[in-house]
Formats: sequence, C-alpha cells, structure tokens
Amino acid sequence: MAYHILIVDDSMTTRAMIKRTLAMAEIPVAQIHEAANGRIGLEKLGKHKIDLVLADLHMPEMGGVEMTRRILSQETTRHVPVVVISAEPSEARLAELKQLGARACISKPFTPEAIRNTLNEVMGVKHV
Amino acid sequence: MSNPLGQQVASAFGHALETMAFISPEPIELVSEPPRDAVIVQLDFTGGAMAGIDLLVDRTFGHVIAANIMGEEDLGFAGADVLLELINVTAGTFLRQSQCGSTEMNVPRIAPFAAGEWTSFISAGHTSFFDANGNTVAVRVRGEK
Repeated sequence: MAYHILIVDDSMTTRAMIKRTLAMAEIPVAQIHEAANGRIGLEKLGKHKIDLVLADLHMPEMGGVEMTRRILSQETTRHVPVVVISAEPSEARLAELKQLGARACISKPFTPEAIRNTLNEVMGVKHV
Repeated sequence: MSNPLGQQVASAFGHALETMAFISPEPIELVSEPPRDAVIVQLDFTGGAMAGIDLLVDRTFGHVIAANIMGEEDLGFAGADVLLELINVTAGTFLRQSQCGSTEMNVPRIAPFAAGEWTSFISAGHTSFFDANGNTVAVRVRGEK
C-alpha cells in the first residue's frame, strides 16, 4: 500500500529531509503534501486523502500540539495517525504529546532507520 | 577545547551535520579570523543554566548544506533556512545529551557578523572550531547564567 503523507514543518529544509529520508527508508509513497504550519496542515487534511501526518512542534501561527489536538478532536480526522518529528529535548513534553494522542515521536536528527521502524510500527506493516 | 559543555555542543553539532547533510566536520585549532562573509546563527535558551548556542559560518555554507540535502544546487533561498534548522537540531541534541530537557529552546535567528566582533566572540563562551568540507565553522555554547 502506498501512503498519502502530509509533512507539516515551517522549515523547507526539514520537509526536504523528510522526503529524502522516506525515499531512503523505502516507504511506499503515493503522494506527499506539505504545510508550513498547523493551520495550513489542517486545511490540507480537509481537502486531501491523508494516511499519515508527520509534524513538527514549534511553528508560527499554529504549532504541532494545537494541530494534533484538533486532528484528534474531529470525527473526520481522528483516525489519521500523527507522528511528531522534532528537536524537542524534553522527554516529559514528548510523553505529554503521546498522551494527547500522537502515535510516536521521532527526534531530530532522524535516520532512515528511525523513520522506517517508527512508520512500520505506526502503520502496522513491514516495508523491509 | 577541554570544557565539557564545549565538547558536548561540538559533539551535538557534528552529529546534526552528519545526519542531516552527510558532512563530517573535522575539529581544527583556533582560527585567527572569521569566515569572509560570516553570519551568526543563534538560538537562546530559557529556563536552564546556559544562555544559548551560536554558530558562526560563511553564508555560502548554508547553500552547500542545502545542496547536499536537496540533491541539487540550492536556488538561493534555502541557505538561511538550513542554517536555522541546523542550529535547532544541534541545540535539541545538545540539551538531550546533557540531560537538560527542562531547558526550553527559543526561535533561532540569523544575522550578518562583523569581523570586528571576532575577538569578543571567541572569548565569550566555550567555542569549538571545525572544517566542514573546506568551510570554517565556529560553534559556541554561550555563558552560564
């Protein structure tokens, strides 16, 4: 199965790195959508089929925490897994996110192996 | 560079650059002058013992990293963005490794660096120097509060 993935991060560098790493991890991708903040991410989620959201935390206008909260509070989107990809150093804060409903947290800098292992676990399939 | 904090931030920087852009920075001795077209990239901390970390690099180094990441020549707009992300990742790694998870990271910023400030830059804080694919990089953890 190939995934429709939404990458939400205000850094174009990070969005490019995630796309590159998804390819290196041989994750099957049907389409990638990008958003520079949580507000745009929610708009894209409302307009497109999305199987997985990869989200940063600290973004202008709307950060990852608020975006995740809204995704999980809406009937039409709460089934979409959210994986946080962040430089956030606090284990306590990351634990709070998982309590909020994020399926997993990946620390930056991330490797293809970390992406692959996490997505295998979250999406429930093995790609390699 | 013998200070533990300096070593930790240097290690965090190396790890970030290698993982993000497949560039392995080599430690070098103190350099006598800053890069020619230098920019200073800074990220402040809140709530911890340290004030923040800084990177001092040639502006063009951002384009080099961007090209490595994006697999094509940087069109000119990604250089600053990549340096901001590099310090963001370096700071997060540094705080995790030094077990300062309660310290908060502020939004990073970038600005031109005046050569006249070089002496005061290298004398304030714990500074490490690297050669990264021919580019000189200074990495500093700024003052214990």
